[in-house]
Amino acid sequence: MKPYRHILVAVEADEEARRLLARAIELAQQFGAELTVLHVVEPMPLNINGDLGVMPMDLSNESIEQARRWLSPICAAAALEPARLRIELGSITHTILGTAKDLGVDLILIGHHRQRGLAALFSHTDQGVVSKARCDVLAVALTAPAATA
Amino acid sequence: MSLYRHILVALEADEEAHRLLAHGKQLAEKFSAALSAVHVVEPVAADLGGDVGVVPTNISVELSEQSRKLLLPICASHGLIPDQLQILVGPISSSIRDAADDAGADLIVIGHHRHRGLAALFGHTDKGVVGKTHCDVLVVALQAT
Repeated sequence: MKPYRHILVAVEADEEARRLLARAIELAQQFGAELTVLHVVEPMPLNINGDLGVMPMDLSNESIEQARRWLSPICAAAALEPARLRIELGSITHTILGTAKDLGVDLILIGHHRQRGLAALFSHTDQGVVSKARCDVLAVALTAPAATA
Repeated sequence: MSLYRHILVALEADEEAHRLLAHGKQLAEKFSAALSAVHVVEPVAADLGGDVGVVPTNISVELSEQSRKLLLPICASHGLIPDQLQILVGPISSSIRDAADDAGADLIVIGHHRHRGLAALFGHTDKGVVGKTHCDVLVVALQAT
């Protein structure tokens, strides 16, 4: 089997992004693979009643900027070029899969949280990614292991 | 750097086992990890009607044996000794989790067919069971690309 050449890691703009990114970098190094970091913002248009003359607020741009403010330093700290971080607006699963296809990645990295169980080991989003991806998907455990009983 | 210490490959009793094992082996070599395999047979109860005097066969045992006969040579061809293959009877996802816990695996490798879907691999009955695994799970795309 060919080693992975391009890894796409899909991060949320949260604390876990650091761990997931650290894992992604380790794997990229091991495989000598390119790494692209993707964060997807789901669009949230907010229309305040137009006939009051209030401008509709678009929270999406705000979310994008917030995500960039959170993720850019984390990526920089990991010595990733800024161009390696992509922040896209769209439906999460669809955008992850679309980006993976466009970039020709051969491994998608996502995080998973233990308490959801293996059947929903993958959240609704992750399950979509796993079931529709054309390439391998690695779900990284983001919950710290419990102390053994 | 040792990212993974023990890789567990979950196999179905089919020819895809070759691909999954080859992949698992490659990863194990790269990470200097131990490698083992597990195949889970879901229990099938068969009641053949005791009052006719026919001894009901235990299908699960037969299936396990058939799987073992199919998988042992495949495993051997990838350098695994019989001890490295475990055949379990039980619900698929929790059995794989248990096998991972027992082995101290930190990476589970499973295959996925786009047409069959992952839902076919993991039963919904397991939803109530809180995931005991804190492993990474690598889902290998098995359909021809």
